[in-house]
Amino acid sequence: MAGRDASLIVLPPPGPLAWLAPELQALELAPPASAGARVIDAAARTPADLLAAALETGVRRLCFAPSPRAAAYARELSRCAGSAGCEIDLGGAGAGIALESRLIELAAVAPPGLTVLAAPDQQAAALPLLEPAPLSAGALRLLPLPAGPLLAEALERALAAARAEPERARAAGVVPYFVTAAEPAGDGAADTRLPATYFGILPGDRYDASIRRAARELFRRLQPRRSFHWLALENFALLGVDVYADAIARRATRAAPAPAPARHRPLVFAIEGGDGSGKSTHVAALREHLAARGLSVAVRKMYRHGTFHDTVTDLCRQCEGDKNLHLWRIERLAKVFDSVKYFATEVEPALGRYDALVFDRWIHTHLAAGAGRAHYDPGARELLQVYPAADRVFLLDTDPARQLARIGERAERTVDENPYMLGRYRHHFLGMAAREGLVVLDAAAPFADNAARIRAVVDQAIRDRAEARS
Amino acid sequence: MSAHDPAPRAVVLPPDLGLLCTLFAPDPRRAALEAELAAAVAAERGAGGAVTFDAGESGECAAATAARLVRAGVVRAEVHGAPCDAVAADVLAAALSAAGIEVAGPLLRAAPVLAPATAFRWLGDSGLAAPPEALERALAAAVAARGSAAVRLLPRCSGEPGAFVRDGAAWGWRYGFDDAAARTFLAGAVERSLPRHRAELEYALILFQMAVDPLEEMYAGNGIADRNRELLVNIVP
Repeated sequence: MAGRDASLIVLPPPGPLAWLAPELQALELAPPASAGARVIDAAARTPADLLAAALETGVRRLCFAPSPRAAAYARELSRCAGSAGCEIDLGGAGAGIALESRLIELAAVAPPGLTVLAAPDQQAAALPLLEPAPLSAGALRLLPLPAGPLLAEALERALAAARAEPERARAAGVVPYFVTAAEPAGDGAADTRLPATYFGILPGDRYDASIRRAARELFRRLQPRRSFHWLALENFALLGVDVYADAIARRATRAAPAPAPARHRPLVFAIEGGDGSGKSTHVAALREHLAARGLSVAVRKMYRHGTFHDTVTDLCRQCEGDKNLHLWRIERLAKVFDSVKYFATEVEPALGRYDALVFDRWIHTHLAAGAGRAHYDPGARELLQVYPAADRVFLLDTDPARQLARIGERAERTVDENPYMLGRYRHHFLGMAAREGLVVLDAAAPFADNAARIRAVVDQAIRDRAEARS
Repeated sequence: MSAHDPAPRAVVLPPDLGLLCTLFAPDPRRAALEAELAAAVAAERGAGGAVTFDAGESGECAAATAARLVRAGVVRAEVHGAPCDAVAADVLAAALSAAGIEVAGPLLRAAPVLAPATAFRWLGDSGLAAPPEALERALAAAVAARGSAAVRLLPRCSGEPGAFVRDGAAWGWRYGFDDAAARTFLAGAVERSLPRHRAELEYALILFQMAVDPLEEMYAGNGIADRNRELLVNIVP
């Protein structure tokens, strides 16, 4: 049992670079057993569990070897209840050497363009990219690529060798990585906005597109089986999505928040679908139908246009020339936050005033936009949990060509009214419809047929609700 | 056959895209299919046929593979795949068609094969292969005997290709993500027996919830940097 001032050394879980190249984990050095330090592998528990266990055993100080993963884990720890009772030390004295620090050290062994032959407990040696050399057990061939002015030359030299002998390049098992500071400067002077947890995967986000192309080709030539995983992590990094932070926060498996206490809730119906699928006409018809049944009805539209929308579109324009790609994520978050604001101002007050609410679009649009464009939801599902569950959601399915024909030659199209994004929306809408039981309607079918189907489903939902109440 | 030789026909497989390839062993049916196709192509070439075989090992996206095959003179292609390749095979077939190659397929097959001895079988046709406690004990024993780095889990290896939903969540089927009990077991067992994979597993589960397979998206050339110009087409002159 630890004393009152006892410390615990925490080894944070492996991050994106080790997910990509797990053999690198061997380079991370835990503190020597002879030092007598108490060490805990955080990979096997949530930050909240780790903190609780530490506090329960009298630990008041958690120490990490400095690394971006340690910083991310410490941030998650600081969000846990009770964290005020435990000091977090990212200084690293006696806490071992993190993988990121080891890779920076090893880069110093080899001038640009040379590989490092490294084993966890052996002297590193510099070699040309494809120099045949027997590998001892556990030895790795690494290619450090220096972020900064020498990067282009280093990439070009390595690429020339890999292109000249593609088979040997593929067989050599060389792991390339970018050498950036292990920690972001944090003082506004950082030259990248990539989350620091992507250490090694990219040199930053402010380099020329030709560097990105060269890096992609080099990784593909050296690690073809891993190249799609590398591209996926590059995609998330460029968007500023911190998948490591989400993973250690257990975004997928943590318990969902308890539902809000029961209260009077109106019937909620939503018509989903892409631009030009005919949603507005069906929303109006459904409103009339519900009113004719004697229900008080309101229509709500959580996606707003006007100045807000124009401002967000201006944000997207900053991505011209493949720069500032993280603004695509910011655009998405801005729209999600506006829908949350809309809930507070326009939806919540209506929940107690009407018998039925009809929504023109629903949360699926946010989810399809995130997954369709960025291949990641930056938080829409969690933030939009403020909205009540819908009784029925209708999807007006239509193909992009028909949508574009309906949208016509408007002087100004929104950011999503292009064939690629309309196709992406459709792909994700149909997937969600299959998984979540949305009522799919063919938007090309006669209006009267779809309206009749909507009325029939809605009438059944009203009967279901009445039965549930009785 | 060298990919540089001009050939009028190609037999192609998409790359084996496995997001959790460090935790899970490759699908043995995919390896069996690849071996079977390679043998058939070799026999055809031995009989004087001009056919190219490409098993997707280049790391190129589908469009780049199609462009390379066009440069090699290929005019017709058969796209094959194991069930785990369903979505990627669609992507490849579309890219080949777009490049002007006449495409047959995708031809998906689920050939039964014996599981590799080294992979830990935990998932059956309809859920966990054994009671969770027994599976957990067996996994812990395997890790103790072989070391965590040597233990891989066997992906689900049954089912007909037609049973696959071809959306972004389809890949989770091979890891049992579609089954709540299997998902819960997997997260717990990995946390206790293979903890260094736990964060990566969570990453995959997050993507599964979003119905996204980022590897398939990258293979299709849908990365944000690849599509940025198209995304801006309406708002940047």
